Amino acid sequence: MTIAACLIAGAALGVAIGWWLWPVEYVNTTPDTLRRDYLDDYIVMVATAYEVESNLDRARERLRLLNPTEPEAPLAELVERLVAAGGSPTDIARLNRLLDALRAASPLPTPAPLK
Amino acid sequence: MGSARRIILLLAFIAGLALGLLYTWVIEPVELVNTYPALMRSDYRRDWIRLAALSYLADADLERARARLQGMDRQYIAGELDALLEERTTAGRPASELRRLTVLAQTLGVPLPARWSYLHTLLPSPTPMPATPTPTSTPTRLMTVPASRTPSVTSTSTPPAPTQPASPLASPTPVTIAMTPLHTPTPTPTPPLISRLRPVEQTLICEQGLPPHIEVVVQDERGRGVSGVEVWLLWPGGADRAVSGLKPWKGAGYVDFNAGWDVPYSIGVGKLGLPLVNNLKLKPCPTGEGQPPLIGSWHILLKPQ
Repeated sequence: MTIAACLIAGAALGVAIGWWLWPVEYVNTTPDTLRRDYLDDYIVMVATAYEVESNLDRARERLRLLNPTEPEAPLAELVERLVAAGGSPTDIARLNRLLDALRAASPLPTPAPLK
Repeated sequence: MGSARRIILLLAFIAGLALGLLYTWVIEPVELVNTYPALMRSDYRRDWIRLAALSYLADADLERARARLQGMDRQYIAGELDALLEERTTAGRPASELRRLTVLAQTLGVPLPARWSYLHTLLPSPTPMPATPTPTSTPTRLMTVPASRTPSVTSTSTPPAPTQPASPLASPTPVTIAMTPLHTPTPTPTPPLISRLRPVEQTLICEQGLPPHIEVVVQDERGRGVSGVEVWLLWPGGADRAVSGLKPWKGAGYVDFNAGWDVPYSIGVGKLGLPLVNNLKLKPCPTGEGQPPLIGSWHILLKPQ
């Protein structure tokens, strides 16, 4: 009984330390953990920087930080949301241009041979 | 109590502690959501600064750039702007573009290496200079004045007196002085403004299809939105941080937060999150007979007083 009480007391102290007193410190985070408005702004900046730099590979690499398999997906999703929310037409146009460029540069899936 | 028993109890306590820490640090650590750029890894932080600077080159929106770079370490900003200037210079970009980057640095109060100071001097124009001096609206620059004159710092917003020489490069031995302090045409979210902010308006928003949220608008004395202001939403056991101006289509001073039902929120501003509004809870909106219940959102207007 006393042993169990000591075990529980130790565990309670551990939880208190681990969650409140000394929680896991997050530094060195990645863009995909950003607050939604920062995340949206990150995507807008990637599209804007693409207009200045004309570097599609770099834009794709940046978007891969948000979605490694489908880098265009967050872009397309943001365009939809901005259009629905009445976002900046300039931003939407930039996002669309980058989206078009990414889709145009993506290799088309090879059609399966007919049997 | 024997010493063996004491040791067993101590071991039980330590085992419990280890289990507790294992659970909270490894199995179920504090959830990581809603971070902000200053917490990112240094290479991502640098890229964020680079993206903000490139975006500023594209749209010349100083307020938006300020909001994007809010909270970033000045050394990082200085380093990245320096690298970008170097890169754009090597690429043969026009001086006007490079100058814009230095204006951004100065507006943010970021020191750049002295080698970029030439970008502030007026470049000799290949076209003939006008007979009378034209007042310039460039907010920051260095002015070249004749050595014989006593250098005096004047605001760039004041047009030059008619007795000024027609060309600022007319003197054979020029002296270059910095035109400080920096003047920008738009308000700066300085600590004095933050300390004077007070809630002046609190409106319940009742709109179907709108997720419950709390939106805050920061304005200056003239009613213009102020970007780059840190706004905190605090509640028991949690906090969320946002910076005004990241949704420019909603106004320079706009920021919003998702909100939950029956949670008492406080709203604060600045690095310390000084609370300006307390015990703010979402409220149901009045609805007609047979209509589904609707939770309202809050619109809070903060202005200096």
